[in-house]
Amino acid sequence: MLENIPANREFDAYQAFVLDCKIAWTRQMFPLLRDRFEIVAKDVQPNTAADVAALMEGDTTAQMFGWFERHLQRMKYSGLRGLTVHYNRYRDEIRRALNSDLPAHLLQLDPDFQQPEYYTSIDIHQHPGGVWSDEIAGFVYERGAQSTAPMLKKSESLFHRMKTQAMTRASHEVKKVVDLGCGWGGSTRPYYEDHPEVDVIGVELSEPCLRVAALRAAELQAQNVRYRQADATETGLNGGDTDIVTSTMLLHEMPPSHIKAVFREAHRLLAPGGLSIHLDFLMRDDPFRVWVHNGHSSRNNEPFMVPLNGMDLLAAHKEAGFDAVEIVPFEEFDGALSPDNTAWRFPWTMIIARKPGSSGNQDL
Amino acid sequence: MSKHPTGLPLKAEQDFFKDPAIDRLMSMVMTLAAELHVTRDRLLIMEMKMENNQPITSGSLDAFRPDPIQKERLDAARQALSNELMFCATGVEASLGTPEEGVGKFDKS
Repeated sequence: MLENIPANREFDAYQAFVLDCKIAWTRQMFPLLRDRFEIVAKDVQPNTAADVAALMEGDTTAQMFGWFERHLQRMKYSGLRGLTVHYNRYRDEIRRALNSDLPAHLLQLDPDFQQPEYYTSIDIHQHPGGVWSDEIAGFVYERGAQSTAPMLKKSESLFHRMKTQAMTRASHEVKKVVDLGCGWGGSTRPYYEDHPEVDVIGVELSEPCLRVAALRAAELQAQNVRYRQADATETGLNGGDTDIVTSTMLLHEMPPSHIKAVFREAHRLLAPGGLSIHLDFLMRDDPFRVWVHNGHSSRNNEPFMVPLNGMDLLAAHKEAGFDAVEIVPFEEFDGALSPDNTAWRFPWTMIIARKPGSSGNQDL
Repeated sequence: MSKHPTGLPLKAEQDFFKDPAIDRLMSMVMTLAAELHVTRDRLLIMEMKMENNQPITSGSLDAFRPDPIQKERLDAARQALSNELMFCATGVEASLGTPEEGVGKFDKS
């Protein structure tokens, strides 16, 4: 089983080295890039990311910044001791664990499921083959997520913070939660683990990810969660009875047409007064950071970040049936939003709406 | 050469420098740097085992789990290398050079 995958010091040393370089990129190179931008922008006042791009054209630090962002991620996944390369050696052990007998209620796969074209055409996060095409891709993705945001010590902290935000903002007793695009279940786990009275459903495209999510739930002997293979735009779940519909880092991985469909599906699933809350990335008020964010979108194979950032989210929510939307910065660790934090960070943002109805407090 | 797991055609190279040769050389440098670290890490672990009169086998090195003091030493060695590499990429000088306006102002003759 997974615990039988032997320790490998060389793999650990390699991955720690790549992560160290990423931390230096985050804490030292990014502030330096900002300093260089402020010097060239002193008398110009750039208003858009395109203005910043023009100013920084040919800047060696900007070139280095871009190179390291792209290639440290490549090294992490596909380098000599990258995640996909390393875990491929233990394919049989991983396959056996993921295909072990699990309680039937945990996992609902669709043998006829067709992946959307946008999803299979791009290897998000530079994960070769994406997180869907290889039977061990979900396990590799779970391992890789441990160092997605270098300033975070553990991704669990992020997921717990998001769960707390959602549960705190729910206007009435929460009995049912649907986690859209739940991946390997990291975002789902705090709901079912901390709230055994809540019925939790994780929805995900990728069978390899769903198998990891279900295995982890089985290890925890969870009784109140089930994972379902379906598109977040059309879950096939009953409508009108969910208290929280949530997603974490889902919206930026789909085109605007599908994002709008997710909002419509969230509205359909929710009970009156129910909460729609998505954690994603928005950066709109700082041309320098928009330029960096747009660059990340390209460098990390996540091209839909840019159109998400430009979307009229209020109009999209209204079209879906919501009355209003609230855009709220999300603090992924204590002090993340402080002006004293000069390191690079994802522009974590919560996109929150509530289904009109008679249940409880209607304020956002 | 590299083939995508799904069989789909790979996209064009993404490059960042004026000459893509620099991008490729950077990749070679970082690959070598990572391997240098892996080798140095293994060497340090061998030294630690020798200091403790422990047998050195390939398997024991692969399975090595440092104690807190050993971990601190190994982490420090790794961070020194990664910090130096990344510092080199910033273009920040480590010492005061000749002033851009020259040194004439120092001449009191």
